Amino acid sequence: MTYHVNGRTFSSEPRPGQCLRTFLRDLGWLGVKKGCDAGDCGACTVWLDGVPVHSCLVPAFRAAGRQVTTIEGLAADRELHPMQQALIDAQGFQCGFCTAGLTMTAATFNEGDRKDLPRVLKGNLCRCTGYHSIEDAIRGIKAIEKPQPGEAFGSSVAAPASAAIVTGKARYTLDMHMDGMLHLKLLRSPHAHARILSIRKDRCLAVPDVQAVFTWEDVPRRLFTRANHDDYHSDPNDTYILDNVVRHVGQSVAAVVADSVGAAEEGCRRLEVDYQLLPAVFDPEEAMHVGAPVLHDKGAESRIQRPGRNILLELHGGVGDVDAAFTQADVIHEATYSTPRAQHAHLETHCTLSWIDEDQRLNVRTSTQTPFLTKAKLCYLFGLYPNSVRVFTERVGGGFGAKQEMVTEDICALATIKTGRPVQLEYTREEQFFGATTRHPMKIHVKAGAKRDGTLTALQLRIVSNTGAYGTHGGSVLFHSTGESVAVYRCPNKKIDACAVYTNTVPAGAFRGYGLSQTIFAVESAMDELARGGRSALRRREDEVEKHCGLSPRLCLWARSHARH
Amino acid sequence: MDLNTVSEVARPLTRDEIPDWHDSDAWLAGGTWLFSEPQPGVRRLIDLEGLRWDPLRVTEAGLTIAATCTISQLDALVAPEDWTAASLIRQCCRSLLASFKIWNTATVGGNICMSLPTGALISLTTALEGVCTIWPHDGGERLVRVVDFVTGVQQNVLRPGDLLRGIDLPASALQKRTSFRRISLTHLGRSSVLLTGALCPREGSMALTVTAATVRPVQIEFPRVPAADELRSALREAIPDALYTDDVHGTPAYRKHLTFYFAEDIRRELSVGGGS
Repeated sequence: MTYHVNGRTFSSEPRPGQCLRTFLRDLGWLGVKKGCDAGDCGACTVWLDGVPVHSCLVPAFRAAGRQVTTIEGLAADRELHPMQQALIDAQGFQCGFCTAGLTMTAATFNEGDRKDLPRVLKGNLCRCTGYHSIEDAIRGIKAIEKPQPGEAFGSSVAAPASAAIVTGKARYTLDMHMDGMLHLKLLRSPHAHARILSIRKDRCLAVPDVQAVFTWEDVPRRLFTRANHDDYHSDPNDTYILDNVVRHVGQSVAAVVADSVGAAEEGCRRLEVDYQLLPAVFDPEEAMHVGAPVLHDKGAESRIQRPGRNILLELHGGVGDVDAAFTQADVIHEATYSTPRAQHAHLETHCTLSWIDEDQRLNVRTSTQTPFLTKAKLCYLFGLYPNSVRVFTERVGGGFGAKQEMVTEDICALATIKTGRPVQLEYTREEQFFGATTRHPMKIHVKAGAKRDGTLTALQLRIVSNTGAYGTHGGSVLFHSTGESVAVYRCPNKKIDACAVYTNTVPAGAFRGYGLSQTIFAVESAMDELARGGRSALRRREDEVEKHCGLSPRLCLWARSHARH
Repeated sequence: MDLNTVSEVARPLTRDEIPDWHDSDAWLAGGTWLFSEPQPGVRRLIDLEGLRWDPLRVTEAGLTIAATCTISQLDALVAPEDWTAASLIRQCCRSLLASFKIWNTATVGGNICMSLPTGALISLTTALEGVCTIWPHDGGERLVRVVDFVTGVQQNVLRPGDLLRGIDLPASALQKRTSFRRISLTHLGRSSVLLTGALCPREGSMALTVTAATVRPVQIEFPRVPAADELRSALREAIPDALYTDDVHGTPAYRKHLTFYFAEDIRRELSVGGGS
């Protein structure tokens, strides 16, 4: 069969169960992106005979004999389709990972569609823009200027990568193919807490094209943290690349590398693991009780404050005397607020491609917000000199904090070091939810007292943060959740007790907002409740924040604008 | 996504060429669900595209929809003028969570065979008294009303190897006056409750169809538009509490409340203007 893509003809045959998305990428059309691989995000949108489809859901063989158009074929060479130009003019993108699919969708809109954007854009997820600039683009609104020399400062210039992004030429982490490349897949724990007694590899290694299997016995037995901070003391050393104890459902148990993704997946299915099940705890309050299952039986070198009580870090502080102040309050509001777990859902999943170059240097091309810290971490883990490791990024398809974490680089580099081959690890969307990190779920008890005139007399918080099975960012997020979100209110009497607690759940990590959004939700909800029947909550905020004008003019402006609109 | 365990695709051109069914087989219609989740148990796809069924046939008897008819083909149907109920097609297609791009690939039969409470094409074809034609794996043909086809969440009357061939909507149903109510927890989101009413202009009878709120479609027929209390007691009798769907898209109590609320709304709407 022949396949026609962007006016060119190809005679290669897809695999029987291959979807059109990966087939097109195999043919070199790398503008076709994977966001979800399940038909929801639209990053892989292409046209089949001029009709937009999600290519991740289309069996590749069904494209035979039909005309396929990808972002690369939307306009003739060196010209832009009007939709591409409009996206540049309105800067309707940030990371740009969704842009190719968005363009291939929006380029089909008629006048009726443009009147109903929420519906017709349902199948295109953008996690950066909030859609305002995308809507501007579709409506033909321009946001960029072309300043004269000497006048550029302060003007709205287009992002340098604009043209590459809208034409699908911008290269992201995995938009590259290397000869001899292996694919890595991870076997994941079905248990929340278990000790691995044995892993039998024979049936796995018998799968054709499987090259190697790595378990906890193959990795350097060095504790580290997946969190990336300049000062590594910020986070606990509680993690091994692969461990003989799994502490949450979805934790990596073993890594299989093979010549194809399919063989690596099959290899994972054929590994036989004997687990000794351990008691698990999922609620942070319960995890702090005496006698609760202990997740990390580690010493002081781990920097876990109270490992026997599953407490990563606790903070106690305050000013004034809240107990006395509550007795003087006219109104007291007291309630417990909970914030849920959430995943960042950056469109480009975590992914890494590593290889050893002719100078015997380890190269790690990865989707990260912290390449230099990742490099330092790899040097530490594998005992490498800094000049023998290169960690770098191409364009990164969103992160929102999730990539301030070493998620895929360590195991990928290990496989390259062990096999000498290029190795690629690409997370599935599903893996993002159990094999990466989330926002810290928190339970925040607030007690706030005020006078009838609106003056705050006392503010007391008890914050319990669930850091999950590992402590990445758990401490520093707790510092922030007890700091700025409370500092905005002038109150002579404040008291805060806070702790970050281990549980047998997916680890939490850095997430934009970094601890503030959780406490702010609780504190602002409490302010609303205090204001019921009295002065308007927004007016109260304005008053409180204005007192701090000298400290935070931005916040002052924010409060004013919110109070008046 | 790639289905890496699939090693073979059968592409029959006629019913005779359909191979014997194995547990590791999967029917491939649009593929929009099949390719959206890992399917480690599937070894062979049996592609229905080569059977080249007419997507839609309009006759005096009604509308025949092939199982492989795409959502966009159905949505684009230009119905005869006296098919007043055809407005439900547009309303139900727009009740799908999926993007219009998915409509270009997803099929009516696929939506019905998935047998999810929110299956908007189940809502449509139940409301319009659809009858499924099934090709049993051992030959022959079997007719089952859509309302009886779906038996629970992702459960239906198909046995392994059975194939849904199509759905017939009778002209008499398509000529009814209809009413439509739907709600979801998020704007343009997945349906929590989807109710339709259909009034027969000749006889004055009314059928109320409850979907999404319940784990399988429920249809209640009345010889005429019922009184409010008659409607409520009929709903209570037809839908025990355990039949209300319980998932993240709405609690049973929420769905029950809105089922009664919308049913009354529909009753009032169809009361106005009478049956003929």
